[in-house]
Amino acid sequence: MKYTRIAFSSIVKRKLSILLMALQLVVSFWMINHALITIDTLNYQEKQLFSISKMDEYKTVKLTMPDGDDTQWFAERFRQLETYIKSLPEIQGYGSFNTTSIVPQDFPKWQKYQQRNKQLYAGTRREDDIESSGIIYFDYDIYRLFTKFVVIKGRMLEEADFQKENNDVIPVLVGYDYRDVFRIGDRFKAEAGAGEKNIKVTYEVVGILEKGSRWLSGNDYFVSPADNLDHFFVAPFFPEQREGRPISVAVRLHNTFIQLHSEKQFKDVKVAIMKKGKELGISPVLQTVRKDVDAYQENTRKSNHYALAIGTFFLIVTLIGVISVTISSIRARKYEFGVMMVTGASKRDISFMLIMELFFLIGISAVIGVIVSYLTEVNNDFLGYNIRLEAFTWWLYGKVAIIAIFIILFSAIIPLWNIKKLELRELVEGRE
Amino acid sequence: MALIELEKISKKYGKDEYTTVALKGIDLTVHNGEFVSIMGPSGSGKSTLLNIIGCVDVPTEGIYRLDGINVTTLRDKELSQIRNRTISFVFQHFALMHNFTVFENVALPLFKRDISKKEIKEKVDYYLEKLGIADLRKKNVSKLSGGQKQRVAIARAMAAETDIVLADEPTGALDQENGARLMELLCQMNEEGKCIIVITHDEKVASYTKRIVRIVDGQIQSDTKGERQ
Repeated sequence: MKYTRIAFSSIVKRKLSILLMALQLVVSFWMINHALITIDTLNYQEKQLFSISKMDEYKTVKLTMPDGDDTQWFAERFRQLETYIKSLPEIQGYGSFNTTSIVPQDFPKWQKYQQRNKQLYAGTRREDDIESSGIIYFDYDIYRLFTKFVVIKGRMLEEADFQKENNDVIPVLVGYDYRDVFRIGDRFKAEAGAGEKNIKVTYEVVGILEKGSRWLSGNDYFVSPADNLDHFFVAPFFPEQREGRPISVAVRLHNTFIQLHSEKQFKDVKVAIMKKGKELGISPVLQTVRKDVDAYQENTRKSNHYALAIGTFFLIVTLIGVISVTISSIRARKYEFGVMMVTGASKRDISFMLIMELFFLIGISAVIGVIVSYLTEVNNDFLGYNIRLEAFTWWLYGKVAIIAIFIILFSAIIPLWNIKKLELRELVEGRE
Repeated sequence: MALIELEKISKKYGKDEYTTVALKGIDLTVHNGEFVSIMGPSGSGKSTLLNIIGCVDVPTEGIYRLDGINVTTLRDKELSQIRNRTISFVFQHFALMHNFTVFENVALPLFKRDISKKEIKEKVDYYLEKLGIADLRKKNVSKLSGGQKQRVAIARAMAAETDIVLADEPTGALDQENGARLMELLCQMNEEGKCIIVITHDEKVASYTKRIVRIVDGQIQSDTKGERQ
């Protein structure tokens, strides 16, 4: 349609008002997009939790210690509480996991290992740290009850592996990306502990993990994106790593879970553990995973509702602005429309041209709004990766497109009605 | 068969006590190749008549047949087709698109037609050349003189290649020399077979035409032969 050229030309002609409206629309789309991302991220996080782990919404309980610290005093009391928890008949499993990093040494292909890490870490914050890899330590119950990953070579970890001492050889699973760096049976050494208690632990590769294996983040099992285990090690806790220092206990507290036989037992277990904690002088807090997730989502939703409300408000104000500017542009362009109509354009052609203008203005603003939103999230990856980036999918773009189409149609109704009422006779009687 | 056939055409504006009668039962027939001037004082209804002939306005009463088709019952889309393919306009105020080039203005009626960009270019270039304004093709029309603007308007009417050309006070905004040049162009178009209808109150302009229709108070007062035969 050649009238499109006239539509674009008209936009260029009114550049200042169009620019101001576009700016307002970009801000509105940015706000709306922000709110949509938050909603999508919440859904993504929940989906991630239950697809990566076998945690149960109601039978898995998160144990936290708001008054926990890295003192010897606390560590001793917490160990007593752990012993008590394990003794409860309602408990199917108890334990923690911890994500950290190690520097493997004394193994045949260490050069290849470093080369591989150089490739894997290129362009990331770890690019200067090619000697180390991430490692996740598990307690047996957490490994047994919650993990889903499998090995493609060798064997999985077994119960006996979780009962090793510091001097024993610790079995380890290696990520898929290291499949040609380590062979089953290869051993390497790595330091554990710190300062005077620093020890060298010997690990033995017993299995290679399947490609794309994942496990929950050690930073926050629900909020943060899961770790891709392709360049990780997976090992059982051994005494030094689990209990060696009070700080080890404090760190473990981030990811300590209880698995109940039945969700009905939660209330009794909670009362019992809190009572024991009180006796010990510490304050355990128990919450089912469902409740934990709900609490986070509720908190986030509140701020999300605020963002949605602001975005909608902006959008309504912008909509009114778009409508009024479009109507006044119709009045200002009566002569132009008259010229077009005497040369053969119908009111339908003029309406089409107007919708093209709105489509161009609102469409471009929506695209810029999404780009601005994306750039904001990319620059917000203080933890190395921003889970909100996962929300940038076709589903999100589809929703933004639907909102944009709604705005185009809604903002076109009154102006199109104005065009319908135009009298060509009056238009051609106009003067330059 | 008559090209334009008006039967008892009336046009009223407003309602009740505010009603203004612009045309009162006009009967007029115009054939292919005629060169007609419609004359009359201000407010006589000559512009209203031109608007009805040009499918810009619809009559309140009466029948208007254009090339045998009753256009009084047609809808906006069909009327726009007629304005595009059968009728061209030349206005006193030029009716050009500001901020568009000479080329784009001349090409405007061709946008609506099912012809390629190449054909549009060839046609527009031909008429710009014919009117001696080819060197202005890329110039913005707002930067042209009155005479140049009117040439662009004529070029647009020519490029549209319609059977009818309606001109509303075409020399009104031009000096004597440019006015005469414009009338010569209209004569030339008439000689090429176009039906030209000019609205004017200028006897000099009317002298170029072959037939003069005089309107007073919305009614045809006289319908005589013009000087140019």
